[in-house]
Amino acid sequence: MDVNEKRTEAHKKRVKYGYMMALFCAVLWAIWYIPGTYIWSFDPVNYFMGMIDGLTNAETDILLGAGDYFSTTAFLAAAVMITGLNAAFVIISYFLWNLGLGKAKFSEMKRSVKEIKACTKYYFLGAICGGPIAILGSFIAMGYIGGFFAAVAALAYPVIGTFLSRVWLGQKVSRRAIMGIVIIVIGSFTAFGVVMINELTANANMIGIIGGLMALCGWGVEGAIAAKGIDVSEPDIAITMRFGMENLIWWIIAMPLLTIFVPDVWSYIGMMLTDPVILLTLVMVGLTFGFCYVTWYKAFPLIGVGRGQGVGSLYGIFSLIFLVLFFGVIGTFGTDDPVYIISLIAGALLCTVGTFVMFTEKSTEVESLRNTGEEKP
Amino acid sequence: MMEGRPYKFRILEILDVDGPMWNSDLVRKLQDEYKMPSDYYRDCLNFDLIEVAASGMICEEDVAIDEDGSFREGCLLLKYHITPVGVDFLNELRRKVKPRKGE
Repeated sequence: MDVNEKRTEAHKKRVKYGYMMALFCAVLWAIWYIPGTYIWSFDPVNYFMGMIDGLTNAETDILLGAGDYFSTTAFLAAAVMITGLNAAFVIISYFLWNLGLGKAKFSEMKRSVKEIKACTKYYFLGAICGGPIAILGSFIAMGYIGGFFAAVAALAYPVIGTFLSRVWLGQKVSRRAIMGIVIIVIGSFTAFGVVMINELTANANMIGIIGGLMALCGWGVEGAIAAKGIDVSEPDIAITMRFGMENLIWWIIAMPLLTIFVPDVWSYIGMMLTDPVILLTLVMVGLTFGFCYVTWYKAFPLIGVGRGQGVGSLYGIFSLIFLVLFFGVIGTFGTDDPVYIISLIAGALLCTVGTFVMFTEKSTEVESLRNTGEEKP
Repeated sequence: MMEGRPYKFRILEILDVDGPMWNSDLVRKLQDEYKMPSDYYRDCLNFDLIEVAASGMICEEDVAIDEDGSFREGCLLLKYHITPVGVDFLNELRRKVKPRKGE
């Protein structure tokens, strides 16, 4: 192998590694919807919402048995509590991850956090878009409508991410990459379209829909902001600091505010943390979501925001597979209507085609994610 | 100005001030500055270079194979230079970083 062949090989390897990271992100993101949905079914969460609505635990059980809903205020308070715990368990997993990467990572973290204008502000903005907008929105959608709706709602986020990466970051987006992203998004909507329409017409709940929209916009914008931050820092550092900031938002601002209105919130958090099954669920939430974000951030500097988010949006199809596996067809869809199954297969095929359209892009197209400002010889 | 600041800041500054440089020399310089002598950190810093190159801020201008194993035997050696986009970015960083005493 001559030197030029080796160089081409190295580029291909970099691009392949970027796509692999995005694919891992999709799988881990999809798995996250299982504990993320499951956590809403635990007694302390339901009793917390019941308590806000002025119900005793016994009355809460009767309400749930009748299939009734809690008030919007109760749902939002529970979503804040769960999202805060999600952020806390993610940062614990990052602490362990960075310990494994070596102590130099902590020194680099210290250097990066000091650069407020050049680095830290992007992590903070990313934390705002990702945490109180996207993740909170997704938990609201999961709690109010269901895990699969929450997954579908954010599927078109690569469209926002790609647009911003083009106009704000100046990243190159080839026609082939755009074609792949469009096919993946169409595929995902095909798979979930019928389900989503059914959910919206059956429950028609605006809070859940707003939650879904928050996830869609929040993650789309966060991707572009993250890429700007990663231009000047390492992805492992960027993601740890971004979740560090998110924890500050939840535990220094949001939770104390919630405590003013619901002083008992801490006893319910205590109940959740001392129950082994809930604790294990939170650990799974932290690990799946934490490492989904690690791989998401690692993909951006290698293949760009648009491609990273495009392949990452395969989480939609994976999440449905996992939700069906864990909650069953009826548990996931509320029906065994073959239309759902057909739309799923059609969507899955389209998503796979879209991913291959992107995967087969020449690696030279992705050699540099921006125009370097140099004239080509 | 970028000494002791995040790796990617320093990579851009070294290529801007010292001119084009092979990855083996650049990584070694960074390892010395940041006191990260192990092979593991050598590969981590080399990966940072790959990320900065992918972002379009630095660009390869020459390529060779490490025959004598001075960096890592048989691996690809790349000579990088800073691009106009990289220079703009570095100037933006220079405006954003807080100068230390004596800078």
